[in-house]
Amino acid sequence: MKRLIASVAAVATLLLPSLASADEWPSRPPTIIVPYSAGGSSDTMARAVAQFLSEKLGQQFIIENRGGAGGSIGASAAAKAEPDGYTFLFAPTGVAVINKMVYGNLDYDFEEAFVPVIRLNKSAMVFVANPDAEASTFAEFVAAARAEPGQLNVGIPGIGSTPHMLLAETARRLDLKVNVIPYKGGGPLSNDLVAGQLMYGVDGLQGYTSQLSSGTLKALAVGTEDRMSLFPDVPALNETGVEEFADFGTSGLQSIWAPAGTPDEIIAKMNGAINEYLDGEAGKKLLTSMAMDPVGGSPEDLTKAVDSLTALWGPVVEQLNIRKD
Amino acid sequence: MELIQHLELGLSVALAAENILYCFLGVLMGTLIGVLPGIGPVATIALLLPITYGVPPESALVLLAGIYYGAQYGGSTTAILLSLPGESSAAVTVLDGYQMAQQGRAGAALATAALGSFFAGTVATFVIALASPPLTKLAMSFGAAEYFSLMVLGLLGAVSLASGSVLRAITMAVLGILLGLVGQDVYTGVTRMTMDIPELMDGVSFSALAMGIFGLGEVVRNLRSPEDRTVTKSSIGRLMLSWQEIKQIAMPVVRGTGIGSVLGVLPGGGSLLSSFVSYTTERKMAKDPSRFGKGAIEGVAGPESANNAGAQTSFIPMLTLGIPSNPVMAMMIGALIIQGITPGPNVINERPELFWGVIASMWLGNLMLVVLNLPLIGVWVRLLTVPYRFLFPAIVGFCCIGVFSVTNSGFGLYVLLVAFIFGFIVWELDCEPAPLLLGFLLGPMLEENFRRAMLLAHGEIGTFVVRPISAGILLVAVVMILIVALPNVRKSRNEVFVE
Repeated sequence: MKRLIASVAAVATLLLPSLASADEWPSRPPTIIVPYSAGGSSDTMARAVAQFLSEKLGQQFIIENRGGAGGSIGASAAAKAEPDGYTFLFAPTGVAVINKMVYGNLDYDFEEAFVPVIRLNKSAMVFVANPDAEASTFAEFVAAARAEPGQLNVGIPGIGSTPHMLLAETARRLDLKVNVIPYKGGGPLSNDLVAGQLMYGVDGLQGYTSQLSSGTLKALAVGTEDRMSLFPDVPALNETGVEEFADFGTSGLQSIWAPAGTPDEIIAKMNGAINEYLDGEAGKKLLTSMAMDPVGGSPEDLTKAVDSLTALWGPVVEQLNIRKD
Repeated sequence: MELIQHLELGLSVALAAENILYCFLGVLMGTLIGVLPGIGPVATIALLLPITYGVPPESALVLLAGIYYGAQYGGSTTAILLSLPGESSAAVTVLDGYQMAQQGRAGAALATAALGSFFAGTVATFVIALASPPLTKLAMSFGAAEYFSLMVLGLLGAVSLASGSVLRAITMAVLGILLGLVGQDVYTGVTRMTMDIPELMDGVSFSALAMGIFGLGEVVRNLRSPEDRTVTKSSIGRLMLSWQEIKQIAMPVVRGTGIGSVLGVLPGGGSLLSSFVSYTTERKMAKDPSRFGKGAIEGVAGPESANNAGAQTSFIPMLTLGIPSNPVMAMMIGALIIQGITPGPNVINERPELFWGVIASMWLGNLMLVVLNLPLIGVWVRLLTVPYRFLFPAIVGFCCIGVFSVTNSGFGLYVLLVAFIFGFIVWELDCEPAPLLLGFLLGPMLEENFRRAMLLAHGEIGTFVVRPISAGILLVAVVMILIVALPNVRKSRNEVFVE
């Protein structure tokens, strides 16, 4: 008899998560896996959202940093998690779009393993230059690169990063040859740019807010469809007068996903709460100050954004022949 | 005197009741995370960042800065007592600090670390106040070529870290470089020596390697020879320094502070180098270099002062230019930006209360740390009287928790285990692991900067000697080889023949 009760209890515990209705969710602390180590812009963003959710939904949201292999280790852990609404994945462009193209040995299929929750923001890539650089506009940069093919040093924050791909796409569209200098992340690149060790770089705008506002670096153009609200004076690529970019515009994203099979009601509740954060004063202020304009919207909007980024960068990755395995 | 006015303004900010509280909270937390291996200042600051959104920017920065330099203080405690270097900067402290503790001089070693750090912190505060502009210029003149040359010099120093055979030291340094190269290549994205393990794509974890080789390795060696432990147990020794010892550490502390203050400003791993460089310097200056590695107090005094001075002057590029010299500085920039303040050249004029307030709080924080740490020495030292059969499971537990907390995954524990077995074999073969760790830390930077310098110069190898600073450093390296090698050539040849 005792054994029977015990096994009934065990089965009941096993079933409990799926039986719990969305009304009761969250009844224990949910976890958001950030697939990077603590400290980066993903981590900061995720912690801010988690803090809001904790207050709004009455349960502590826990951030779990699972860094490694460009975010694929954390994503893999999230893919294997129970789809019970207590595990989410924080995914920037690299994790949601790029990794499936460059890593041949992923043990999950992003599209099949995850369902979208919400796109948090849009971020920009920026062409930056040392204040003493010859070029002050994107067109002048193109001219400088043309003047000495293969000689102009341009820094990027890593092989297979989206800035690398934007630079490659620029070179392809304009038939340019530049000397690409990879760095280990944006920090060392910005240091060398400020010090004038090299004059030009392409990187995510969010790492350059202090240098651009204080004038230790200058921005030539951002890669987005429109200008970013923190830097209204920096033109978008499509308004720089360079013809080949007249139709161009792409923005990076940070997003939240759930393991496939997570109940729709929970995703809707999560989506609603985060939309509220992104519409609110605190959210707007934080995101704008980080140079990442809030986006929000429905889960389907996130899928659309990821699809269009996949269509844009897929051919570039193939052309660059980047493989990381 | 403008400076006095500035410092007065700074002190008025730093001495505001709430800022004193934030400063104290920061250094206390910093000390604690420094003592615990694994969890570093970056993770702690990331956790606390959301809290700082609601407080004034001065207070936020005072708190975060306190955590950072507090961790430098705390990191030496476990290195000295348990041979557990929690932070890479404390790896050097293990060499002589732990030996001192074994000889019953743990109190003296801890006091040396605390007093040396306090002196270094005080001087570095004034360096920031007085010499930020010229030091910023120096930092800006360091490109890939200069870093490469600096790493060459640093690696040459690795050989002198070992007290035994030069051949073995070189072997260990090379092995360290190879280990350091595991992972993704910066220039092609190709992974090297990862054996298809995704967790190795970002390289081997330093804390797992250091804790496995030093921490766990020491546990096994102690368990094999229990009589050594009882010696330590019976003779705790004095807690404070004798006049003789104070005289012994005075110059190493001053030199370490100088080395740390200058190297700390360099964004590309300069502060990491400073403790190694200081140790090498002290050994070269010593009348009897053979004492090093066997409990030489100078080997604790110099590096501890250097890493604290370096930690503090690494604020200079952030305060003057808004550029992050390490991940901790990047977080501080993030904290300020969210507050609506743009770190950069304008901060000193637009927000003088912030700039000078933070500087003044650094000095105050260092004072608090010394007041906090000196009485704690007695408590820490008593830890050694705990019977080893209780102590060693705790050490093993701390190592495992520390390594796990870095990545939140069990993989680090495998690395810890392999590092421990590897370290054990290496010790048994009489090879010292210190050059290995230095090779591990500097090797990847050596390669990265060599290739970047070549890329930037379009393949012109002459770039290393055309650039004056780089040429100067290489010249020092050559002179160092000559000094070390000339009298040793015959000796080491003989050694080879003997073997």
